[in-house]
Amino acid sequence: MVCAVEAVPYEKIKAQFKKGEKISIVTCNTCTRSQDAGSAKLMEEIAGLLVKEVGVDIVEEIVLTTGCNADYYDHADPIDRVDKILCLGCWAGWTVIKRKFPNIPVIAGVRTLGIPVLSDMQKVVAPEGVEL
Amino acid sequence: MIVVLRSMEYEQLKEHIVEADRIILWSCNDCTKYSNLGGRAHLEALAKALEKDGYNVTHQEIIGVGCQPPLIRLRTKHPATKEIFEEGTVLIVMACTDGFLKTQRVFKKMRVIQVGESVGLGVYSKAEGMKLVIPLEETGLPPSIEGYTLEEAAKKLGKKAGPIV
Repeated sequence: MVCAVEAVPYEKIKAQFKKGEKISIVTCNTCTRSQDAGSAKLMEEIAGLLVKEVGVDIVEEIVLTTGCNADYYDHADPIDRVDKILCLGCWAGWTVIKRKFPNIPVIAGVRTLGIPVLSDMQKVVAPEGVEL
Repeated sequence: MIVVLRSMEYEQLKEHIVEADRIILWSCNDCTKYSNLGGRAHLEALAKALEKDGYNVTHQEIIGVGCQPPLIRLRTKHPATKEIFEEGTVLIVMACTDGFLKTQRVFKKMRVIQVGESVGLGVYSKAEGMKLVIPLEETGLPPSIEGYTLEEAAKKLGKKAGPIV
């Protein structure tokens, strides 16, 4: 279940947004939560900062049990009338959103490092445009 | 989720065991189940096939998340399973690479056989099943938002997809 992730620094996330943009935030509540890169709490914190410091309009916040289960995202019935989506899930979770909304920029707020194997790490390939 | 493909056929598995073995079947019930390799139904099918071929399957164990050492170690201590695992000689593991290695580390006295292998990160949906979207670097496959089906990924990587029997 667990892939290794790290949070993208807030300043890098902040630089992706502009005042007045309507955004949706999606967080995974499994791997990213267990590694302090996602969770409802972190999502609320980032949302609050983006509203206060950038002036974005947060129109939706979604917590998914696992971000890599496309059925969960469908079940959340996400709206498509947003300028950007911030994903606090691993890159697999990022592809779930990107596949559903190919024309909406999906900002990856989490960097996926790989799959842990005992004390080593099997590195994964980054999709184009995912790394900030 | 981790995409787990199969690294051997049933006939190859039989080369690792003998009729005198006390065999325990072990499956992760998370990624490996979503990868259509593990889970209770596939474990039972394997047990039936092995028993039909004359092997002694003493136990089937489902572990909720097979890569979590506390859950693996619990099987060595819990009154319901302690004795079973002490008496086993072979453990056939359907889990990701990490789950296999961690299981092997706990059950040092048994021959632990690896059936599954991690190939990257996947996305699951009921309609399409598991699809590989973020492959491991070592596979040489590019990422895919559409994803590779398990069969496509297995073909490209020279592995197998689906249950062992």
